[in-house]
Amino acid sequence: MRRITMSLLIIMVSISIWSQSDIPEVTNKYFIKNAYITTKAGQAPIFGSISMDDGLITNVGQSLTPEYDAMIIDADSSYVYPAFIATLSHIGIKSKDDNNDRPKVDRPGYPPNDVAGITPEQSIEGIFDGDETSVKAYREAGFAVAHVVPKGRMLPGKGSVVSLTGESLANSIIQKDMSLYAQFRGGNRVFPATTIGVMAKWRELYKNAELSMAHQSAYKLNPVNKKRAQTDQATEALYPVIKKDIPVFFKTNSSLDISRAIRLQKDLGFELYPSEVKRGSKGLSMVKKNNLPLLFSLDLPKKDDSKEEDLSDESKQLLAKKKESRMASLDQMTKFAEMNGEFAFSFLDVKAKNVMENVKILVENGLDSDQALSALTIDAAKALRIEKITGSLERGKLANMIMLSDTIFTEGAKMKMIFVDGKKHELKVKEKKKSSADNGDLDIAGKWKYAIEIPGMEPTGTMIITKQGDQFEIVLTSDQEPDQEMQATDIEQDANSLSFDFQIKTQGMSITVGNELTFDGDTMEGNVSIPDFGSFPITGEKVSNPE
Amino acid sequence: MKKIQYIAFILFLSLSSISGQETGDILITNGTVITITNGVLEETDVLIRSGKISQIGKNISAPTDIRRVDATGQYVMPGIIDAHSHIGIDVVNEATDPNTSNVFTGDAINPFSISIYRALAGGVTTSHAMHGSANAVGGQCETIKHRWGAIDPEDMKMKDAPRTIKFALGENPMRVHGEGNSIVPRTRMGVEQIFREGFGKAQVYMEQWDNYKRNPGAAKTPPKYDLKMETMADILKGEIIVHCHSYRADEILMLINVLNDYGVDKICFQHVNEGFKVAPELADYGAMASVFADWWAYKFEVYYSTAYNAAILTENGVTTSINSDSGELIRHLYHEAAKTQRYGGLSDNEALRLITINPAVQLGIDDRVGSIEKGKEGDIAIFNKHPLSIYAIPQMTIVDGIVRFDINDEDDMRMDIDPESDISTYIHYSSDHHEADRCMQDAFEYFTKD
Repeated sequence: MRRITMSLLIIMVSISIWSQSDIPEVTNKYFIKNAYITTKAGQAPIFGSISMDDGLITNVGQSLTPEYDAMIIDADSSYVYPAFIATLSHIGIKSKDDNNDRPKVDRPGYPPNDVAGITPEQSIEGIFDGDETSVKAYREAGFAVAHVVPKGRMLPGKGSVVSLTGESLANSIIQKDMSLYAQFRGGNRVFPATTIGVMAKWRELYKNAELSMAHQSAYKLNPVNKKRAQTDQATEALYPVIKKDIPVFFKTNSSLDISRAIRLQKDLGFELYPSEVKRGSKGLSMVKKNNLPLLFSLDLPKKDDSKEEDLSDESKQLLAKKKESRMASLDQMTKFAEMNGEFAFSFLDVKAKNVMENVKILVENGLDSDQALSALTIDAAKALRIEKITGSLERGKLANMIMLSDTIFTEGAKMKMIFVDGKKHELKVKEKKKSSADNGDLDIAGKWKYAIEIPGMEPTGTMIITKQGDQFEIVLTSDQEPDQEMQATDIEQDANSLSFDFQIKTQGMSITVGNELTFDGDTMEGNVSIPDFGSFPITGEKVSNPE
Repeated sequence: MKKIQYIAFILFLSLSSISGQETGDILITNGTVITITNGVLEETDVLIRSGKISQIGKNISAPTDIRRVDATGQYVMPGIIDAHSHIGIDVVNEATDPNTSNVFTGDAINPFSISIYRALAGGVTTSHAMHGSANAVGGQCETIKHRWGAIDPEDMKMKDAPRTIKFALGENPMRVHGEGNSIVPRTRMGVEQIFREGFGKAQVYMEQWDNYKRNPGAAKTPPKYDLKMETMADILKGEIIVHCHSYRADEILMLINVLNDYGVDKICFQHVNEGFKVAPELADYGAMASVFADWWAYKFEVYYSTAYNAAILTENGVTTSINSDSGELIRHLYHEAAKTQRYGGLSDNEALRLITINPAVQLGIDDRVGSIEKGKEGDIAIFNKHPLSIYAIPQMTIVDGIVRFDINDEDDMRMDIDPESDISTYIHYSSDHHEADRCMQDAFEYFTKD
């Protein structure tokens, strides 16, 4: 029996491989007509056509005639925009489970570079995978190009600009090793473990790289009476940063992080992009004074839905301040734009499915929609120095565009089609499931016990799923803290799978935990992902049906 | 001509460095002025112009657009100085090596830390934001001025204050590195060797670099740049004041011997609970002492102690201060100073010196702050009663001529709030409470091997 299953599996796998292999496209010429085309953020749309051939835009305008062999797409008054560019992301990087065991080193003050999280020489080659789910998810969210950086600690490695075709890196790469990615995240109980350690290590690495670079060029001129430079990969990987050939994208979530990155930049002299800024409102003038660009995070703070009438007067005041603080996060882009600051967005901590929704939140809170589109397209291209080849719809640029059912950022506007390098990807427009019958009637309401396999912890708990109309509601409690009820949010159903988030509050911090569960009768299994910690298997079984 | 340009350039430089930090003008009238260095002056005015004390006297006339504060019936004293605290910084310990002289708390200043405002509410205008005591040679520290409201961490730094570094003796470095990592120091002997090794290597390092700098072209290869050795070398050159966490008398004498061997004379012992046993030796070496008023018995090496410590050290001629090492104690250092009158019978002025001019001497900033004198920086605390009275409540705290705390301020003075935090967070003290030995913040996880 087992053998039969095994051979079935092999057949299935080989079929799926075969079906993926290249079936040639009928044509690589496309002609979109009857579309409202916004060629560049900020410009009024034209009603006309756009033609592309072999990955490049060949013409945009009114009353164009298609070539005889082009595939004609009638946009039927849909809206065409330049596709988005993810200015900084981990798209396509397989998340490796972070090893949280204490590394075994003889002297924690002097760990090997890879243990310390210092791998500036690491390229995304070998760790980028075009098949990774995030590539497809981002492409379907309207992205054609991404600047991808490795994950890690202090200096995870070099970033490359890739096209989100879904193909191998060799076929997707636009610019290799065009940046260095840096974080204040230190090592796991090895030097540098803290922000002050990271900053000290920066100074020391940089100074030594300067010395060895100077020595190497002196040696080249005249090696007599000199020793060969003894360097290592990490040191040499800093040379292009010192020469300002490539900039440093520094993850700086807060204005404090920004000021620390600026401190290093002033002391050492590299080119700096403060990135993934979440709470930067207080640092904006500092950034502007130093004439730096900014990359704002699209991971926005959640709204506090506490009902005022339930609160004491003191709590009301505290809530008001908290709301004020959230607003400061939502209008920091507008404030920076008013200072004539250059900005784009970064996507390190945001899921593809939340991008559009969050940009809409920003627009609702005052961000000019042209400015928002600009930050997602042409300004992103400028930050990555690829504005000559993409970021707007012009003859000779990459055929990267999106087609929407309505004007962009409008409620209800659906993404219908995206072209990446001239390759068409049609999206199934998801209709909200009206009746549960459409979904094979997922009968999971009831009380469930779950167990998460985190090495050394194994947290367990209870999950109560109820169905209100056609929506699920999920409340979780953990056996470790049975008094704290956690309400799941962002619940999405796909056949017999559910994805949802919930928040853990601990020591004044709130952590968003993502869940992907697949149900089969009275059992379920899936994954739980905890930011900065890793992804862990979860299993569970139904213990009772709803009362 | 060239000379004039040069002078203009220097002037320009000094002007531009001042403009980074805001200063103010204020006239405090008719208060009881406790100058610290020149007695107590009744019904006296103090005028601050551009952040500096410009006049002390009766009926001072000042331009009408200057803010006036009526201090009738109130006490005006110099802003309190805390020679040992860990407030206003996001990182206290880089506990990964017994010598971390390469790190610097000045890199982790957090101007939004509410502890800074709470310290101001206790009349404290300057504090020494120290590295913790996890390592024998800890990180370099930063002297900060409590310019609450500033956003750029650079604006919190007391510019041109002398550099300082944290050393630590005894149990903390032994636990973290010996017990936690099975490396030196496992014993008090090992702690001594960390200092000797550091200084010894720094001597060699200095020589290498001096040779290289004399003629870089002739060198076969440049020496490696080592930030730890740079710092250790600067200590040897006398450019850094050592502040050493210490309890036991034998260890205090050990460090004096080590420093003497390497010609280091700028030393202030911190906590120094057994300082009373070796007060003459401390005075003899010119070592200073910064102590708790009456806090001990929180670990084995801190059982032998006395509330008379500050008085005994003072009577023996040791420059002594009382510090907080805590976000809570820093709010009432004037109470802590008053305890030396109950235990040791110090005079009002001797007691107040422990939290003003003496810590200023220990931080090398006594020419700028620590007393009310013409030309000094306009850092003032105003109390409703004599500051050594148990009924004293700080009314207003001024830094560089700017009011940074006023008892009539609104309740919630937080500047930076996490939009996703619980709304109740403000009420909790989190890690700033007294019981936690803040010296070991960020280091507890290092105690165990796993």
